[in-house]
Amino acid sequence: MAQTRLKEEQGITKRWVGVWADTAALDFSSLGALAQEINGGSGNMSVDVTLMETSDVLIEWCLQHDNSNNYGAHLLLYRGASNIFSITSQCLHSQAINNVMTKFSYLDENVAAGTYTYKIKAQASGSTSNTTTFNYRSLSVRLVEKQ
Amino acid sequence: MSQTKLKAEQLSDPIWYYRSGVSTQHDYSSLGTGQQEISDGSSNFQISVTLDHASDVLIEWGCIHFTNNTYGAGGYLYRDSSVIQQSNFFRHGQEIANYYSGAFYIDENRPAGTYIYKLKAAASGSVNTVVTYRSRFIKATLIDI
Repeated sequence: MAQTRLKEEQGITKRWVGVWADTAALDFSSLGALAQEINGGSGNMSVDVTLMETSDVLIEWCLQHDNSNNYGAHLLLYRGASNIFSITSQCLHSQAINNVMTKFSYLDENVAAGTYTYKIKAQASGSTSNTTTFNYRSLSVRLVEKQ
Repeated sequence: MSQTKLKAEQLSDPIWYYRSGVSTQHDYSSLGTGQQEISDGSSNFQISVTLDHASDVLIEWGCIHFTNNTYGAGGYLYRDSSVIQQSNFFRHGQEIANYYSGAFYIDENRPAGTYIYKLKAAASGSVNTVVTYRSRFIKATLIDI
């Protein structure tokens, strides 16, 4: 079984963001069904990475959110303009509930050398009649190597 | 060029604190509005970390909790006397049982020294609430600069 450990992060210029100074309220009734930036004014969930060689990149995120009704949001992970991973219903709880924490991770394997922006976006889940409010949120990016 | 790798041996013990099967009840109607330690009676929700050189420290924590009404509590992650992360981690807008809250924080560019990382909590919205904190953990992982 492959084991994973951290290795030199020689190329990562900023390895994480943590935002709790604002709330990002996404009213999907007006925003529609497209994926949206999660930004309440203090910055979005985005980290830039420069890889000096082909690498495996571990992306982890956690956030806290409110749902206004029975619907909620999917979360989508982007590398640049490409949606590389979708977490269906990560922010969908089938009830109005506040301040729910959720966390997930993704290993982006064999990424070629270059500069990339990893970003989390949100998309209406089930219905666009919902407003999902994102409170605390963070995103980190680390390099790993398999042994 | 910065380098990062795990060096757990540079952290003093314990870098990992957990309690399972405990229930710590905070009745804020009697405790008031101030921030409170989350204790199992003999130890607090905290770890001590010693760095022998400047480092980045990944702090991860989680806690099962429940509330008795629409209020709840905010959580505060401290490094010594400084709040480095906070939110309404233990408030859900309704009575709800056994919910998990957890988050991570990367404490960047910490100079060499000894630090205590801990979680505290305070009533959120109203002191007319009871929050019970159950199984919990906090751990530190060192990341070299």
